[in-house]
Amino acid sequence: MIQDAEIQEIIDDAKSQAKRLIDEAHIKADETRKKETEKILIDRRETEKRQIESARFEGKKKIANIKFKLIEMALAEASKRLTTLAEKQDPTYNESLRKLIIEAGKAVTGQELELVANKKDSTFLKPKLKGIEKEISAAKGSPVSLRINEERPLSTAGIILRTVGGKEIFNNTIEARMTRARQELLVKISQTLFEGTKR
Amino acid sequence: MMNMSVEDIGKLVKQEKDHEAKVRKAKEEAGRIIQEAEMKAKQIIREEAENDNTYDSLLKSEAMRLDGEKEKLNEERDREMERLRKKAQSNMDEAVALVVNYVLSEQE
Repeated sequence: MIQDAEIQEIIDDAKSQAKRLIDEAHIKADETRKKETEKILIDRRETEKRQIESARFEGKKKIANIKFKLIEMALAEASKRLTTLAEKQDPTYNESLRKLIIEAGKAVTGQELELVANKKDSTFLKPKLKGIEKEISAAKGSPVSLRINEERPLSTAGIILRTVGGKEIFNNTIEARMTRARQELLVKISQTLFEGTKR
Repeated sequence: MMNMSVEDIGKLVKQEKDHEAKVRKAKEEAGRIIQEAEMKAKQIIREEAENDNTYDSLLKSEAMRLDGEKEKLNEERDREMERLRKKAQSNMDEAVALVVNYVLSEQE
């Protein structure tokens, strides 16, 4: 009987060693799985973070693009409206011609001034020239002379004022003013369009 | 010392030999059990290392989650773009007037 117990012990020991080996293998496999999973998740999250950032950036770019397009639409529409006003010789436009000349006259330092405009505007301005000349003189505090140069009329709306001899030139055509408007009003246009007063 | 007959001694020797044989057999059996366990353990570890299914499904679910996030971002972006379009549409006249006034007015 003692002898049988010894044999049984050998078998039992082997079985318990075998069980330990299998258990350890499962633990090791679990650890491997956990480590791999963790590694994959970390890699994945990094990739995901990059992709989300990229998607966000793309989204911002698209929003900026649509804003830019809408601002361009407003500018194009303004340009169209100004052309119509000029072509129709709308009183608002005609009145602004006087303002544009005075603004230019105040900006240049010369005394002898020459005005270039398109034919239609020149015709409109001729009878008003003396009055405008007086206004510029008063604004500058010194007398200026103002005449229209009709040799090479503009093909666009607005005016160009220059000193005789062409040392100073002030481009106040509608086109030039649109360029300035684009530079100076971009923030305001954006605010008006996307915030506006209408809710 | 006990007096034993030759027959008894013979029996004892046989018993001892039988026992040794049983022990040897048990040890062989034990060796086989352990060897089998070792092979199985190796197999468990190898199978786990080669088991791509777990990772595949993990990657799939992560990819789906990412797609969901992207979808959400795209929807937010589209909503914002639509909001801007509508807002701009309703404020377009005001913005155009701002530019027209600037162009036609004397600037300081």
